[in-house]
Amino acid sequence: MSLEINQLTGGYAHVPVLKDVSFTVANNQVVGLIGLNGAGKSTTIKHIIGLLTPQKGTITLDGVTLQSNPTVYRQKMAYVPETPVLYPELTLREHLELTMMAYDLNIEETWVKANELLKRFRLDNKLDWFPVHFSKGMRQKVMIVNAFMTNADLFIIDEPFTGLDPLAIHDLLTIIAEKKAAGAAILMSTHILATAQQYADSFVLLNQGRVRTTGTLAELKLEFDMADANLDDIYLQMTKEG
Amino acid sequence: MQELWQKRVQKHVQEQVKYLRLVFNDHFVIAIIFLLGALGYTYANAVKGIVNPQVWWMKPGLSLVLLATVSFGRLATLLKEADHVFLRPKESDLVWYLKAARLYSSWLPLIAIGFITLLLAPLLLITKTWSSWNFIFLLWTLLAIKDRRFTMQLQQWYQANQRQKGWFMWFLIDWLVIASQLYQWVNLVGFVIALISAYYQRQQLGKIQKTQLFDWLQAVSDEDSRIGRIYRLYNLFTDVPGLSSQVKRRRYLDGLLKLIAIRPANTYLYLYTRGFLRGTEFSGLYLRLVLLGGIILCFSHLWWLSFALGCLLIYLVGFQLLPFYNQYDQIIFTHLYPVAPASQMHAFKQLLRTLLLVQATFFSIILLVTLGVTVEVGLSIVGLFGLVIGFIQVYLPNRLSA
Repeated sequence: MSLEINQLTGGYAHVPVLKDVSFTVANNQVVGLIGLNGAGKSTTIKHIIGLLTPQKGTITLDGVTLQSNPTVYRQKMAYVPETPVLYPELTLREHLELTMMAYDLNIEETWVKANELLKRFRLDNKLDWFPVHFSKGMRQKVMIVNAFMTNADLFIIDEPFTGLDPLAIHDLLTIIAEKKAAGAAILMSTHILATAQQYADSFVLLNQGRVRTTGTLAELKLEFDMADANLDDIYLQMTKEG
Repeated sequence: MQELWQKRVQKHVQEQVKYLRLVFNDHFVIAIIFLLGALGYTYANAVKGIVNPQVWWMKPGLSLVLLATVSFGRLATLLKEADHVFLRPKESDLVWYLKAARLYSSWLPLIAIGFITLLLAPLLLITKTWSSWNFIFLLWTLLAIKDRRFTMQLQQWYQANQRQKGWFMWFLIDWLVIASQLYQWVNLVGFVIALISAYYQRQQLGKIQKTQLFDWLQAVSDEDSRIGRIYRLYNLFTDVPGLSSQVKRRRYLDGLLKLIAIRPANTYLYLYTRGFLRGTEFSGLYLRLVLLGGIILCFSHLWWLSFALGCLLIYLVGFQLLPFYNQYDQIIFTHLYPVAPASQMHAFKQLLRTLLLVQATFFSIILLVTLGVTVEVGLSIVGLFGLVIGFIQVYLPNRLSA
């Protein structure tokens, strides 16, 4: 059992956006977090990474909560934000080095991993560049390398597919599959349903701050009583329910 | 078109006033007053102290200063990028717009030329090759040169006009004409040359404006870079929105950065030192205040004044650098790192302590040089270092946790 969210109610400044949200992301699993704009995906993620504090309910990661042991909790988790953010004064190399320091990673071992990832994303000759010189897609790749070179148990990826070229999307999916095989839990929020359907093991459907349903595609089909449906159809059906 | 110009000038002036008010904030004005007073005093003494006004470098030096003065101030057109789309149909009226722009742009050089000439007057007079009525010729010559330069700048913005040709020749001519002003009678020749060339250039411009098309892109890009220069200057003192402070690689500082060992406890120190040294905003502030303070201290010959100024400057620098603590709050990863929150404060203290200790050391050396080794100076130095420690250990944590 990796990430466990239990009856989470939360949001911004006492305006609850999320109501009674519960789901789990197990090890060796990719879970797709699906929902309309404003359904509460980003708010859920903000709660998990600790930018927002739950008003009710708990979030535990391998039995640890952010409140009980922040350092261990944070070490177990790596995050790829929807909009890439970088330190303007640090080069690519220094961004990676900073992460290694912060996560207390073995520098030499991690550089081996990092170099592999950099090569895969064709960033290996740009180690001394400043963020201003990176295109949006390149920044996103930096975020991905930064997250996936760590030994985190849980990877949270917020809308990873927009802005990446098809080759990079393919590479990212490969890396996700590798991490999953190695035992990590992955929570991925996305609007690209075709890709999600293909690569996620199960789904959490959010609607207006509540979990409409969770399960594998087969379970969703049963739930919505749509035998031949794909994720797209189920999603549209959910939005019609209002 | 004239209305458009009026509106733009109004907006432009408002904007400049806004920024100038920010640039000349209280701290800065106090520093400037001290500095100007000190400089003025030194200059007055220096002029009195000149024994031989005929030294060989006096005249070339004076002419170079005057040449630099003439180069001050550029033609402000306030043209905007969209103009080449929206104003193009009105191109024939642009002549009037440019006339107004030229008139407006003349004020600043006029003031600068008047001021510098006045400032140099004592020097010009003690060279004694000269009687005072020659000032009128000098002033008019400088103005004529400036006028010709504006005309040439305008000419460059018409298509099919060879750009930047012969600038070096004109530079030499200008220098010679200005130098001629330092000699009795020769100055009349220079004066006539300046007037004739200014008149001739204006005639040329009139012809070109009738026959040639305006080079919008060139004019707009020149105006953009002019405005950019002004804002970058403002940005040294205050925050200009839209002009993000630049980041410079500063490879020569890598040696310093290597001193920080790569281990988890140093995470924030790693970030802060790089951010400080490579960002231009806070490092620039630090350097400016420390150097300016050092210069001011050089002019003080009373130990208690130096001590008070030193304390004030250390406090000022420390205080102005405090916001750097929150520099990375906007970057989400700063909050996600599995690092104890207290280590951020610790790292910031380390950085600021180093900076203020460097400043205190620098000031102490100045005190020792200007005032000599005395008990008072010794106590002042102890006081300066004590202030640094107090600021870091007591004031900083209180201030930042509030």
